[in-house]
Amino acid sequence: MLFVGIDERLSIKDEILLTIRRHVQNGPFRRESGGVLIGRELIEGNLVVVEHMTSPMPRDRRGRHFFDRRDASHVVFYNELNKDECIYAYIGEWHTHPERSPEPSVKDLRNWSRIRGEDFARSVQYHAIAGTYEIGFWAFGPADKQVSLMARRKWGDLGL
Amino acid sequence: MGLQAEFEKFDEKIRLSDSDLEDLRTKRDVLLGKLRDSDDLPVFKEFSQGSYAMHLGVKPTDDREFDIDVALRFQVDKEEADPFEYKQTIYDILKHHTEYGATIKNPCVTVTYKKDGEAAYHVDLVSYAYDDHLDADGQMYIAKGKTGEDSYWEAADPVKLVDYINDAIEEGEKREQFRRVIRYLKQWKMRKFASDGHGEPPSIGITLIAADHFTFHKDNDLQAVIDVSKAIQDMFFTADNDENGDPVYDIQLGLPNSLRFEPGNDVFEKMSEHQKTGFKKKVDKLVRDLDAVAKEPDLAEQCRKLSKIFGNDFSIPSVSETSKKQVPFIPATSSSG
Repeated sequence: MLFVGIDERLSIKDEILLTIRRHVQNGPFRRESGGVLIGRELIEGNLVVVEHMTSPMPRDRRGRHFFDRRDASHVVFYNELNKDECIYAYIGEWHTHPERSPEPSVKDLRNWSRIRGEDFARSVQYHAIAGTYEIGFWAFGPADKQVSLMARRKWGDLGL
Repeated sequence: MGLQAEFEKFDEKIRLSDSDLEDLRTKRDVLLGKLRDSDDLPVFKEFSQGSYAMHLGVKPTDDREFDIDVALRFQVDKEEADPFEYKQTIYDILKHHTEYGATIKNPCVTVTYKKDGEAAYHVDLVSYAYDDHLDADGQMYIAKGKTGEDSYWEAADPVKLVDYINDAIEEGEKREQFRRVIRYLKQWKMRKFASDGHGEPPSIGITLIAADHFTFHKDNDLQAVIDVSKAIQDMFFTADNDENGDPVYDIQLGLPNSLRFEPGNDVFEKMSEHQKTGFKKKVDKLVRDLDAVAKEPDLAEQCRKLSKIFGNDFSIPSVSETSKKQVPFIPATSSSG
């Protein structure tokens, strides 16, 4: 899928969306999932291609209503991608919500604000929340607490 | 580098250059010398026709041969000339010229050469006569037929046809793009159709459709090739249904009315309905695949899709060529709820 972000366009590869969709909390006992979104900024076309991600790891803490990314494997994966040449940027977090149409929680917004403060590489992060019926992408930044919904798509409309 | 630069790099690889044909032109000149020296043939003026003369040649894929088309305009009136006699004479003069010999085909006599033990080149010699050979601009006729019995003279206008294609689009960047687009489509055709039989649509068909429907798109060969592909797609019409009720397609195209060819001609006439239906399906897929390239925002992915359509000569830039360098950053932890 393609959407317009803050001064750039983002292309989310189908494989990323398919992986996230496999984690949606469509059963009463399914826990939240999450990970990071990783992409490349193209030299031409003002485009970010999100083509790598991480998925829940054994040491992450997960419940019906929370996902705490704690396992170091997420960071290891990112560093491994950039081993030869650093062309991959951290784009944002993704996680699931046990609701049809997701909205960021207070905890999510606090988390995104903290990340915005830490990220010295990019001034805007794009975070995804996957509901059972829709997925949404929110931009956080460039100013602190500046959060905007950039795209919301029904799973069925993505042609996956 | 953007997509347009990738297209032009691709064209550079596939287009037939003067040096590619140097060997073949030397061989052609030897053949023509032999024919000229023969007392059994009338005087002729040679003329280069075919894709090379139109600047539309592409290098043949491994399973195909380089070829060069030469028109022999015999300075005779067709009323006084037998349409098969010259072809037979050309054949007799050249049959032992190469190991492969010569073959009389419906529109020409073909002389094949080999390179490294394989058939690699051929020269097609096409015979023409005039209505009145003293009127060089008068009606010309091509000698058709494979035997003395089935041969005949058919009205033709080969010089004007080459001019028609060469002058179809105004000179400069527009004409260059027009020629590139046709070369792309010929490359596609070579890869998607078998060269034996008549399953492969004739290049002149694609070239004429392009000449009539080409639209210039500055620095955008992708859109230009999409437009011509869609124009080809639009030429098909449903002729019938097969035993399963599926449509059978037809496509017909006459040589330009402004030229003096036999009336009622059709450049696709040798293809069966089954072959034309196969052609239609491949064009439909081409249009779908090219549209998908146009919708794809990522250059490397666009090139990956194009290399599936046009082959490995369409190179795929590496991600490091197309991506900005980054300062590494990733938050060590995250807490979502």
